Amino acid sequence: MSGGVYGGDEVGALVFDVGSYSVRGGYAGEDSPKAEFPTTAGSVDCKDEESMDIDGQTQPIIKDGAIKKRYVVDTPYLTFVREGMELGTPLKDGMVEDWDMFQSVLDHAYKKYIKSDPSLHPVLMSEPAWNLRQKREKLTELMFEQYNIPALFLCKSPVLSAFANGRATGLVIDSGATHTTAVPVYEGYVNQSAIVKSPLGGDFISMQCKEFFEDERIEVVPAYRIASKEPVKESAPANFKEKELPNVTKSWKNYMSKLLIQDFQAATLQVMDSPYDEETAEQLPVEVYEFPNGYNREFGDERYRIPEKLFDTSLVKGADGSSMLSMSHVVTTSVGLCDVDIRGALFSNVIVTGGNSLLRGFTDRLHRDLQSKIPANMKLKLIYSSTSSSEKRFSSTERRFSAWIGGSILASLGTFQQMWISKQEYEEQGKTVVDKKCP
Amino acid sequence: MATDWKTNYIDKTLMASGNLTHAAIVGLDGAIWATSDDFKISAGEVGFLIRGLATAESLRENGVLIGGVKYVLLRADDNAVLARKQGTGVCVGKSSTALVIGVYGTDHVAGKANNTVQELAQYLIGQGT
Repeated sequence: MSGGVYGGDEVGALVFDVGSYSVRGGYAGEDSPKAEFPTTAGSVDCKDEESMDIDGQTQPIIKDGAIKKRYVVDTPYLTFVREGMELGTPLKDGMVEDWDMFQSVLDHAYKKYIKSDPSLHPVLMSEPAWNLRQKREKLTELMFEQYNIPALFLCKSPVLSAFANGRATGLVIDSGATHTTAVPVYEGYVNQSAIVKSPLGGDFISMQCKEFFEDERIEVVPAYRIASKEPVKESAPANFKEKELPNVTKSWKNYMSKLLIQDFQAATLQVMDSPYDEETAEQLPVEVYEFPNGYNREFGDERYRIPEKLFDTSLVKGADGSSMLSMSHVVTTSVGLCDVDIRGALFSNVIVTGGNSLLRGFTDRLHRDLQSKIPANMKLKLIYSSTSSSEKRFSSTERRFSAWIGGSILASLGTFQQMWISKQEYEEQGKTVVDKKCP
Repeated sequence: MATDWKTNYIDKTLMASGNLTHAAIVGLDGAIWATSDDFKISAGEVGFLIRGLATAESLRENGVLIGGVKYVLLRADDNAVLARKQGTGVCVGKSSTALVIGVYGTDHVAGKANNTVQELAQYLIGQGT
């Protein structure tokens, strides 16, 4: 048991990390989460009771006036072709916005993966560093009242990422799906006033890819539309038959093409070692990518041109391009907002995390850009768990799950056990206890 | 008056909780109302902290100086300041006319220390001070 290893009390704590791309959940002390599924829920109008358990999902029916609505969660159900299913996410800017949907996501995690009674397990949950007080209080209320959990702790996700990398002090740059943030962590606490955010993240790259496909007249056809296909030569028009489909919603279509674009991103894109220039990029090896409809071609300099925008925002089209912060800029701005005495410690502990940082060449380029920007008397060190040898984007679990892993370590420490907010404390002090006990 | 503050609040509430190593209560005008034994806090430090509550800029750049020790600022909002230095830390709670300052050591739990300080600050607000 993990309790023996860490010298902690075995309390069977659960750790949840709700990110903008996916939800991770599992038992503290384990090395990877039991559950990982997209933070996306589909809402379906429930016309007849029978349709309830066709796919084995036992979601509660949420009565929304006269119309019955229910939520479907998890990849197999989300990607199933279903008429009139609208997709949405319970989060906005990393914080919970739609509490009904959020609850359906948690229900799903408990039912399908944890398979145990919530009232038996203390819960450690991650939250964004900029979470608002009323959202934290609402979450506390939800967990104690609705799920009846015995104890709760909320911890800022950058702190957890730092712990996962064995650091209590460092500058955590988290490049996730919806945004990239730099958060200074000092002695296990977030410096609230120096958080810097940039909207450049994985979703931004997906948008850029989509624009590129439109410019190149490449039609993005996800697998669900294809009935049959014939192999075609490189760059030749695709030869495939379309499936007859029920009337699916626009949000679902967008979601499905985004999944395809994300696959394209992971398979082909790469960040150049030095600032992009076309001549060098053309010399570099090309990658062949085949779309589900059979269309295939080589991608050369565009492989490098698209992710370059993360590091050189002047390349971003549109008026707001210059106002966005590049990856290295987020780091330097954030450190600049911190106490002079700790800047050195932050630069020598730059912790890189988040799914988008798994773009090939991301860390090397960040290192290079930062090296030229930091004061000469400071030492720069980037800390990240290296991707496995194949360097495929979706193979590095440690960087994608760093906040969860940090939570797993924290919740199984013996010294942590006195930090929980117990049910008794919640009942005595009310939901505001969370602001006092969880920094 | 000063003895009341010391016995009732510093000794019987803050220090008795066992969550703090030092504590002080100061007025928002900069006057030091009461401190725990052997805790030296200067009027200059208090003045700087009070000015810092209005604009966090100065605290962020220079840190929080309490009892001759410099702490790195973690959070400063309308009614709370949190700062830390190598396992020790300071938490400040604000009532209507006073600041409750608590310093905790490496053996203490930050969340509990802060809870103690903020509860007293809330209580003082309820008492009209």
